[in-house]
Amino acid sequence: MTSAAAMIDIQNVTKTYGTLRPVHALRGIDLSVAAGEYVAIMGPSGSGKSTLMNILGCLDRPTAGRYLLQDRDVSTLSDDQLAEVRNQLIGFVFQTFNLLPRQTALDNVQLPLIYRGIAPAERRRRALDVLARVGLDQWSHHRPNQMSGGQQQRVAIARALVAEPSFLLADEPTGNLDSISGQGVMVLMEQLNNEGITILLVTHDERIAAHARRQIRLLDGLVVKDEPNANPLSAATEMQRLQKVLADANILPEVPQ
Amino acid sequence: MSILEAWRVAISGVASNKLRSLLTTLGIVIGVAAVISLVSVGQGATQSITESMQGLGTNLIIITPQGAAVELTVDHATQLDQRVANLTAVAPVVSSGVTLKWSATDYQTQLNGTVPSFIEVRAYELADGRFVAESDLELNRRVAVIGQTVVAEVFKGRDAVGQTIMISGQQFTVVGVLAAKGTTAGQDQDDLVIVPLTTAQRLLSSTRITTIYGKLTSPEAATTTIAQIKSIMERLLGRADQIRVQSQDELLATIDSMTQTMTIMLGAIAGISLLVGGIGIMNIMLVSVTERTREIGLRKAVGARRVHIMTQFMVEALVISLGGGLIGAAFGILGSGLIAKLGSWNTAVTTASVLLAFGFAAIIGVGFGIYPAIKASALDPITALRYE
Repeated sequence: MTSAAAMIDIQNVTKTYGTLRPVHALRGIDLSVAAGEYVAIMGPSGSGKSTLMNILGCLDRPTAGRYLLQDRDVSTLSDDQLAEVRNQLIGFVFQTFNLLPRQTALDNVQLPLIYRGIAPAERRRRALDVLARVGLDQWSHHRPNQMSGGQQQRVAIARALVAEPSFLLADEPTGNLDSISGQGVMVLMEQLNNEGITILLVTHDERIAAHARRQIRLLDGLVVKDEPNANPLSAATEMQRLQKVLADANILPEVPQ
Repeated sequence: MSILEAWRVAISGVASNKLRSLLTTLGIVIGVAAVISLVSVGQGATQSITESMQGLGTNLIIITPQGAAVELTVDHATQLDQRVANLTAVAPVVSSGVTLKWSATDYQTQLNGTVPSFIEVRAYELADGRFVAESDLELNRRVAVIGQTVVAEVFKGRDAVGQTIMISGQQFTVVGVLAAKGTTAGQDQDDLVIVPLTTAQRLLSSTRITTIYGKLTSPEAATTTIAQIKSIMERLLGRADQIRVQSQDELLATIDSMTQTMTIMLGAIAGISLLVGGIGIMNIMLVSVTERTREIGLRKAVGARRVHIMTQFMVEALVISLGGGLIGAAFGILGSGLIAKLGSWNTAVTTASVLLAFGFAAIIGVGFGIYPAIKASALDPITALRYE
């Protein structure tokens, strides 16, 4: 999966909404991400962060510019073609998990494989594999409402991983979680990145972004900062610190699964 | 995504909101049940009329004069019997309303003066005694054969054979009783008295024949035979359009078309309720699409194409309509049985009506499910994912 060339190559991408009073959400972005990177995309609201994420995630097309994903130009594909690209190359992790409430963890994780047309037995095997990888092999038959927020987000991460995508696109993955659960997700992310998985983390939270090995900052639709994080925060160390803080405050933390 | 997968997803979608699905299905259940049971009433009417028409006599040809000036005679009947090969038997009949008297009972009935072949042509059977014989005609005997209604009304079930009755002031001896035949097209086939043709002509002092009945060799011969009869009669009477020739099949067809109209009307009224059920499906599917906007967004994000989302919602609408169709068919068959029992009507559930109702339910499922499905598949994943 790792190639020397850039996996994501965005060239002078712009995005304009509306025609009468056009809003320039992105005003010429250049960005390239190589396989195996751990990138945080930061910026305040209105900075074009969400727009960039939608384009990176092939949910939207740029108004101008090129987006090469694994050397394929995806900036002018049709909706159905984009769906196929998302299915095969991108693993989404959302702030609100977005699990199907009436389906078990196992069924939720299998979802991308259903649309890829993989046979049920094979789907099941792969889903159980990734559930084990995120530490939820005992929870495969539980429904989202029977799980904690942290567990639900890990089911969502398993769902993103099951199709073996080129990269994980995580949008505020800890936004709806308490600090310990959120940190648990960050530990998992770090571990996955160490295993070679490319991660794009979209967040406005400086502390979450501190885990990434490269930080990109947007402002008013432009990249204002793009530099490696010389000293990324270790998720495991941060977890220990948080647990200590909470213990000192005499609050018994929920032990993450 | 395979078809099987689509059905599995759809069924779990329908099952996830049981009460709502049940209520939506109810519209289709009632519609299908109404179509099947009401059409069965129409079909039952057709069937019972057809059956009683068969009681009129198999392969019957009926020749009647058109207008009062036309006079049919026994000779015409004889000519037809001799010349038309497709008629196995011919029976001229002179009929008139008469008052029949026995003991202190007066009874209005229909007198039929005819020949021995009448019983064969009109497919009657004897219950007791004998029928009018050739010798009765030759000797102008005053003998009578009576139907079951007359037996019941006049003799109140007593043995009628051998009794003497008065018809228009003349004495007749009852020599036979016909077996019951029932009602055909509203006419009681057992309310009649039969006497020899010659006796009747003398009694009514007329040689005029009211009707000539003929028996066909086979129903297929009807059209050619009717044409043949018409041309012979035209030559005998000197003019066309003097007589009316009908086969039993034609009569059947006329009555059939009447009951068919009734069946279609009943079916159409019931069909409207099915249509209303379909609107219910559309309504619920639209609500369902709105409620599941985020689910649709997520499915699209992980790679569902438009056709996948459309299939999911279409199949869901189909599950509701076909499920309703199945339950409705069961209730319809049950309901038709109930109508037959309580209303003492004849009902007949045909495979065609069940298939029609079921097919209509499926079409409604597709028809009313397609708009919500298209709406769902057209959702923009970004907006859908952000939908609260």
